[in-house]
Amino acid sequence: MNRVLDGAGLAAAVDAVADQVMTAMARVPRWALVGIRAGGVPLADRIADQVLARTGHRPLRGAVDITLYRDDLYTGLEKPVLGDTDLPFEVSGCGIVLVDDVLFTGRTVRAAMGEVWDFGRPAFIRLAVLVDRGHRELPIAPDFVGLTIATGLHDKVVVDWAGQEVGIR
Amino acid sequence: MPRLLDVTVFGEPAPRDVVVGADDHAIDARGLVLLPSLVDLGCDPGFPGFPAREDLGSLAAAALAGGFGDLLVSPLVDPVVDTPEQMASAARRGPGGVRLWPAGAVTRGLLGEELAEIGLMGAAGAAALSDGGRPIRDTVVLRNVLEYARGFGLRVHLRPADADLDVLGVLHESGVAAELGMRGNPASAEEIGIARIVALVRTTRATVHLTRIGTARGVAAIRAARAEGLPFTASTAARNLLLDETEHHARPYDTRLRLHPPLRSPADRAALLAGVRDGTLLLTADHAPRAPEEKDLEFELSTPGSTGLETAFAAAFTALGGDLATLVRAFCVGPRALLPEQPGGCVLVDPLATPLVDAALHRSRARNDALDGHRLRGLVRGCFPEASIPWAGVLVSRDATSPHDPGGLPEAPG
Amino acid sequence: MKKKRKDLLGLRGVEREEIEEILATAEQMREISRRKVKKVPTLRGRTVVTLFFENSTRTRTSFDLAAKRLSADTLSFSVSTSSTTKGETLMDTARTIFAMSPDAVVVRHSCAGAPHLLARHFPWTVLNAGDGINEHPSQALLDMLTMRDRLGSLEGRKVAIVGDVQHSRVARSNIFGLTTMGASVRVAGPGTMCRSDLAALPVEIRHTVDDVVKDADVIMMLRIQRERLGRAVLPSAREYAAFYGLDLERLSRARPDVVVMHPGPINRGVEIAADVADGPNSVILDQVTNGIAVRMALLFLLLGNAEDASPT
Repeated sequence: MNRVLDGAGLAAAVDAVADQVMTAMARVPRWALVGIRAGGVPLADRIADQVLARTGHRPLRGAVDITLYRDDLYTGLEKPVLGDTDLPFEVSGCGIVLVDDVLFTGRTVRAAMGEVWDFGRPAFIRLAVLVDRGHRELPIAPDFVGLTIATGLHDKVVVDWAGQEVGIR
Repeated sequence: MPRLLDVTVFGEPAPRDVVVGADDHAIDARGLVLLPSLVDLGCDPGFPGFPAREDLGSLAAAALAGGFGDLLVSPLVDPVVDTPEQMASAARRGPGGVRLWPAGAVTRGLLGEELAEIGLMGAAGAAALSDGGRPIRDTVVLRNVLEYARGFGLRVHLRPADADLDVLGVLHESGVAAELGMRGNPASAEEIGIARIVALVRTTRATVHLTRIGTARGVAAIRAARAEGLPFTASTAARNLLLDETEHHARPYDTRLRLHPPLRSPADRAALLAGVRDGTLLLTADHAPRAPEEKDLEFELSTPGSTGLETAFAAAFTALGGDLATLVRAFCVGPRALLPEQPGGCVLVDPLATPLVDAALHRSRARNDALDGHRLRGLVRGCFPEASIPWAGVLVSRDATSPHDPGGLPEAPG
Repeated sequence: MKKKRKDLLGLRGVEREEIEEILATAEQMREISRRKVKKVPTLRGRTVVTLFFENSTRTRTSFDLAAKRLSADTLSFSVSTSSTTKGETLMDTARTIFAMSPDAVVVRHSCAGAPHLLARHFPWTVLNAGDGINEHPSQALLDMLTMRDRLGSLEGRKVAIVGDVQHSRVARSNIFGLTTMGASVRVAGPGTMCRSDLAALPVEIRHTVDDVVKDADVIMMLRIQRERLGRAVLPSAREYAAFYGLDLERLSRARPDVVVMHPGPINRGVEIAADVADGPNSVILDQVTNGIAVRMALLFLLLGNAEDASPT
């Protein structure tokens, strides 16, 4: 694996995303961090920790599993194991910050937006990602980014929270 | 007339040259075995009345392909053969010299209520009387049938079953039915049916042939009745020596295995085999062609029955482990004795062939052979219903096994 | 699914791993029914046909709602038994449906093996919604899901099934499924409804209800289906209630936390007393909720597994 970020770099990237999120949400009365399963959830956790540490307030938290919203479910692939979708707050009128580790084609984000919509009409949706690796297939752009890297179309970007690194395979 | 050369009967040269047909060419029968042609005492071809099942041509072709020269034909056609007029017009001969022996219905319409014109049908050439496989529910009617038929010297073919238990379910009542979730037809249906008939024959002394025997207790009851000197014969379908209810595990809900009575247990099958070996039971092809529209249905709704003419010889030969003496007694000589005349006919079989049953290639119009897909031993190479050979003196020794019994044939390859 | 099963015809022979996967998926599906918009786009553009040859409002509605919550189009096809006897065969009906190019067909039929016949001949996913006295797998799965909610694992649990086990597809599917999951099953009922040939199934047969109820973790009461019974099977409803019904008195001899189930619809006062059906041990309404989730899971997992499933 080709390492892109080491432990320190990863922490700095998380800080950068958290900073951007906090700045943008500073005046928003009600907003929530919603991690996209599975990779977005650990990042959302870390951003939430920082918000709590710096503002003393724990932001609303949620998670979505987009399996049932995917556009490639019945293309002969193995069916993924379903994870929890949990949005334990009133979505209508709430600002939503979707969180994912890697932004690639944009299809996952499209699915996640669709899912959030089924819970209510949010005030807005923003997108926070750790790594933007390019190759978008949809008109979707991140609002908050930790790191932008150039990748080959068939590369795999791995965010390893346990091993504290980001790499390209 | 052509002559068949090198005829071998139980390993010995034939006593004389054998004339096997009217064609002007000889048959090279080296390596084959010449036997009396077979008789199906349980032929239910369904014509006239059910043209989609079979016609005379397809029936005769199936019989020839399977080695059968004589067929005792069930009266269960549409309309039921229950009058002398129908009996007189019933087919007696098919292409290739196959002989049909029509049986008359014991009761009008086979409804089990009123006696059919048994005497007049006898005068019109009925080979036997039959319940067409539909047990008579009313015991008084059954007793009257036996009393009345005795006076005309006709043998009565009856399927022994308690009419109520008989329609309870579609598989043998046992663990297999329980596992597959289908209602069972209990063995007691047959046991009660036999007990009832035996009791009535004891007083009426009518000559009775019990058909489609399937249970161990049934075989024992018939053996006991015969030992008592009662005028009983009985038969089972050749396929019942090979198949039992466990076949449903391999082919769940396969309507080709929808038979009535159903395939019974492995222990029953073993008892049937023993019954054939000791002479208690004769064999039948139990030929029951069914049209696709009768079989492409839910299992319970499909029409019971399997074709049999084209696989019965191999089924019996396989199940009997190549014991030709028993096969000839149970499928040729024994059944012939139940016909009004003693027909001739012979068949050439290849004891080493191991055919794979493919019902799609059968001459029968129907495709519903329960043995479809099975690998069997023994193949009929030619059937000559009109050949005359003094079989009784040649083939059947007094003992169950001939001193020249070719049993222990080499195992079928594969 | 591991084996890419095309159909679910019964639980006999289905492996533990597969049942686990179905139940785990169903647990997630329950969340959708708690949303404001109780619908996900998973099966958008797909067609699920419910083909019922027997009346059953509950099972049909449950499958119908499950399909709709996954955004499938649903089509109900009712064939009264009288019209089949008039001439159209199951295969002909199926050919008609084939022309509507469904992705899945949910079949209920009075003959065992009818769904198997369709599964053999047609490319779509077939879901057995009850075939004769054979199986009713989705009902058993929802029962198992309900039991798991109360008991956690099914391993080592004792389940009592009481009533017409002989003619109950619900009982049979539960017997196959529960024993695969490591539970043990004891059955009780009148002799005419619990004959000895049931011994071929992995069950213990008892003839008194107290015998199976006393240390059971679950008591499942079966519906008495008079219309399906032959002659002389049961003398009267009150005699059945007296000897085989579950009332408070009989329940008091069971464990205090025993789970009481019934596949519905209930004959109150016959197989189960009203105060038991509505009491704290009863999970009868949870069964209904779980039914939708299980059927959503089945549609999600099985669709698209047919050989020539249309590409998206």
